[in-house]
Amino acid sequence: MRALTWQGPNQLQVETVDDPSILNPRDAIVRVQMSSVCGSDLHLLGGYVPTMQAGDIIGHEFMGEVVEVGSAVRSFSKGDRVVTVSIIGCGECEHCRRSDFSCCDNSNPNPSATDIAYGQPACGIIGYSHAFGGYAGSHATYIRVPFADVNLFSIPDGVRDEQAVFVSDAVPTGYFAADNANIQRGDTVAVWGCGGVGLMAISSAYLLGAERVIAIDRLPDRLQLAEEKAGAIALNYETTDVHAALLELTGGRGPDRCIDCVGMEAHGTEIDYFYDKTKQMMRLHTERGTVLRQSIRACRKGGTVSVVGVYGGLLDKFPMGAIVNKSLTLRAGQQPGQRYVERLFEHIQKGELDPSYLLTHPMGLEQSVEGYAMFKEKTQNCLRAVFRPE
Amino acid sequence: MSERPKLVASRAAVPTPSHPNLGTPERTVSLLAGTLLIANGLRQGGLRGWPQVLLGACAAWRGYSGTCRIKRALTHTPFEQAFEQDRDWSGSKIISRSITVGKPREEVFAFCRNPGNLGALVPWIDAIEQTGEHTYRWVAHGPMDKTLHCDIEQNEPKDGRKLHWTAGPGTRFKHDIQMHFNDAPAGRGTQLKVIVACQAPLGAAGYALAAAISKFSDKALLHLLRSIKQQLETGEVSTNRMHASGTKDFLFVHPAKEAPQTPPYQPSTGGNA
Ligand SMILES: NC(=O)c1ccc[n+]([C@@H]2O[C@H](COP(=O)([O-])OP(=O)(O)OC[C@H]3O[C@@H](n4cnc5c(N)ncnc54)[C@H](O)[C@@H]3O)[C@@H](O)[C@H]2O)c1
Ligand SMILES: [Zn+2]
Ligand SMILES: [Zn+2]
Repeated sequence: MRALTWQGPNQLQVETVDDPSILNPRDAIVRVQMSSVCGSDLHLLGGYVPTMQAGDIIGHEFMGEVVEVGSAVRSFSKGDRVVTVSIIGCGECEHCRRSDFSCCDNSNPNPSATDIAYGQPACGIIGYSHAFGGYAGSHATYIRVPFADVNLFSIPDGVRDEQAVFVSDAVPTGYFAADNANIQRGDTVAVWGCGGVGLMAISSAYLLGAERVIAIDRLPDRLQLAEEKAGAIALNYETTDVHAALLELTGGRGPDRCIDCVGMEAHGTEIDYFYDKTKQMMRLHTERGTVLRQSIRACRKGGTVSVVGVYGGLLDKFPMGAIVNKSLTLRAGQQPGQRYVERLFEHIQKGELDPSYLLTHPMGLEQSVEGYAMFKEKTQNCLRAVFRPE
Repeated sequence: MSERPKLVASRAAVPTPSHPNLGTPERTVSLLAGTLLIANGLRQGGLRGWPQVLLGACAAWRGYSGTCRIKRALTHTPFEQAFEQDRDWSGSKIISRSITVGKPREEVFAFCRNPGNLGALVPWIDAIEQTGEHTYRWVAHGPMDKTLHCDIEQNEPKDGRKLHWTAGPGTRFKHDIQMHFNDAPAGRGTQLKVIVACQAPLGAAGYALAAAISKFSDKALLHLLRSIKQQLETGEVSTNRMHASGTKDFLFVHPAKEAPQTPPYQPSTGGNA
């Protein structure tokens, strides 16, 4: 089959590789019909996530059709139209039973790297480096999905492919971010980053009862979508003092809930950005913390900072003093999408949510290298390029 | 209050000038050698002299303060010392890892006591051959296509609570492996704690070597415990291969008559999945 593989930092290549096969009784093989780029892939591309190996297939946000199932798979059979949550849960460990699927204990066949880095092994994630299991990704004709009964979801009638594909990652991640923020009636929510994840976080915040959402980015097309599609007040951080604006818009209190949908590759205009960038280039630390610092500083006293932007390792100049002295709650995680998929499909069916506008660039898998170049540089207003393998 | 368990993780205290870990003779030698090195270094000067001055200063400080981190790292832990006394071993390096398996203790114990189950999950082990009622020969593939084997005696000193393996006589370096099974609080399954002791002869050098090797054993142990948990909780062991070609073949020769098999996978009912 054909697949998009990682060859080294900022080097991708479409090549012919072996088809996957069923290895465990609970596996399924899915023929990929749509597979999207995601901001998380940019961290792989940039070389900020260690343990990538040349030839690794990337991609983790996808939908398709089941072509084969293992002997222990109960709820799916050949021909089912499905979407996958790529943060793999087993459904049986104590974390999965608590519905903290992204804390799964049993889905990572390579536990030692994260055991050393994080204190306990992390879960497995499809197409996301060997530290997270070394699973082949979805920018390919076929993909093997472990624990199919837990991680596959049938796409209901009335939900189109270009809506369903984002219920794999961008939508549940945004929803999880808003859910973690513990939004109360009357709350003002600030969302940093208006990529697919940030835009979905804005809509989710409204679905969960936010009074008003303020969105922060610098790309005019994305800020426009945040206003027109998601109903936020958009701030361009290149032409606005973000902290002052957030206080100005909230009567000096600061936003009740702050959501980081940017992560370790935050871009910035202040001195701390150049400090982070230099240290990152010297491999002294992995994160650029501009957004995290800004959101903690802006958040109202007693408020919540919810982080879904991905961070990998160590962060410098972390404002712990503000967290303690303002009694902030900090919540974070990889998305446990399995918790939300059914609810999200209902919102889509009722017309309360429509993620299909995220798909700005449908392309063939053979064009995926160009697709990533465009997504990385944010040219041609690329919000998400989605590949269709032939 | 529950009884405070003996921890494998206990270490000798960090030495400070008020709590030195060097005795008077060690301190005197260090101080003297340090002073001599400094004097000689200053006399020689240049590229050969200055490193001596530096080394001398370290040695002199070591003697003056009575503290040495290297000695601390090579000091056998309280757990190792107690173990060595108990088994009459000259030296030992001990590692331990724990895991919680969300299944009843009887089930976890029954799984682990069957070499046919365990052997299939131990990294590197290709076959286990039963050679006597309690004795087994474990066969592993070593580096460069060599096969290695080890005769192991398996015992159950506490039914349902402890398994014990010892490498039998004739093995070069003695091994002693214990598996303890405890109920996790509030019905959270079974806590499995493995303690692996390997003989470390030849004093400090042997201990340092054993400590270096134990880094690999620790990784193998992590993989083994994860695999046991996965097999018992999910009915399979996670893998990232694309194909079955790299599948490990495991052979259990002369299995005991009523060897329990892997329990078939039972999906939990209820839950959130
Ligand atoms: N936790 C999870 O499970 C999960 C899942 C998917 C994605 N993510 C993470 O979410 C983040 C966003 O993903 P995406 O697909 O939307 O990526 P994206 O690259 O499309 O969007 C990131 C956006 O952040 C903006 N940005 C950069 N610096 C900023 C700053 N200082 N202030 C405000 N905005 C800034 C960029 O302009 C861009 O529009 C990534 O870090 C990704 O790894 C996490
Ligand atoms: Zn993603
Ligand atoms: Zn799990």
